[in-house]
Amino acid sequence: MKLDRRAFTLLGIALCSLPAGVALGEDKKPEDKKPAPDAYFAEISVLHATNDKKGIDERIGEMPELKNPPFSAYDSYTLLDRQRLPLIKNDPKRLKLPNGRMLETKLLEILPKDFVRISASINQPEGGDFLPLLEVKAKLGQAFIVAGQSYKSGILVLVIRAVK
Amino acid sequence: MSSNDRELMRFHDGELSGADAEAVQRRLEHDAGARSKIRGLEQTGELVRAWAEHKSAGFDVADQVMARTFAPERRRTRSFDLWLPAGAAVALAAAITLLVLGRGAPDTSPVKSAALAPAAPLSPASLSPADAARPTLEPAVAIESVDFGEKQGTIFMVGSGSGETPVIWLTDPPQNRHRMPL
Repeated sequence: MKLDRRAFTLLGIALCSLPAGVALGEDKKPEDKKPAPDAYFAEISVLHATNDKKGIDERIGEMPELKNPPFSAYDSYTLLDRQRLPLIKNDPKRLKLPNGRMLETKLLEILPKDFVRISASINQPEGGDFLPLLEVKAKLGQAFIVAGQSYKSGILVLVIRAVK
Repeated sequence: MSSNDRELMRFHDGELSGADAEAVQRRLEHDAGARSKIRGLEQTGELVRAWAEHKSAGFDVADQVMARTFAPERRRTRSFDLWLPAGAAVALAAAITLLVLGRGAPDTSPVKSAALAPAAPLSPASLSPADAARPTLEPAVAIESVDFGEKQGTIFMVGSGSGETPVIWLTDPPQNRHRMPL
């Protein structure tokens, strides 16, 4: 009889603590979904350069490069897409470009003083490489540009920058 | 920059004559790396000339780059006079030249007919003596290596207000460009 009481007590404690455990687990979930504080991303802006006399899309933001040659040869720039791809070692991320090609970016190394080394490549839809490999050492926030692919009476201009 | 590289630049600019020019010519016959550097110099000059022509109305840089890069190989000309009107673009050309000449190990593979040699990292070793005398500031973005594959490609810097932004310019082959839907 004494044993039954003990078992009953233990069972009661277990049942009472179960909702608390579930609640604690729920509290942890949102934290797990948050990106790590030192997560890096490749911010990619896909611009379409044409001579359609439309000017520069305001969504592109301040970009003096577009007013300098050879980019100034085009009078119109439209923002087609802007994505943030997570930069993770050994885990390349892909972005489909408007012309069907795939842009792939990957983190190679985190360097001191807010520098990162990243790689990028552009592959053809049929499996061939357009830009087989590009490796860049960049300070966070600083852009580099990959341009020249033909697209709808103009060219694509990819503005890539590593950000935190 | 090594003395060999300087000699290649002088040869490219038509400044060598007689035995010196013949020596470089012989070197080019069996040195794929040297041929690659000469090709880089030629493409740099072509890019600068394309920019100079940009002043005329109706300029289409993509067409110009395509026309220049896919044109049959021409004889070396004294390009110094052509570079003068380019003004600030000369500095750009020098930067690209340093990129090409500053390559690490020489490319011993056969030179592809239309491909630009892989770009060199922007390393202090590739700076001219004048540049080396300046305070060494780490560039915010450095193109460490590029493989253009069989495509045409060029690397250059474009002004971004406070600094410069590296640009990797790739072009589609002409036949593909005409197939693209308009």
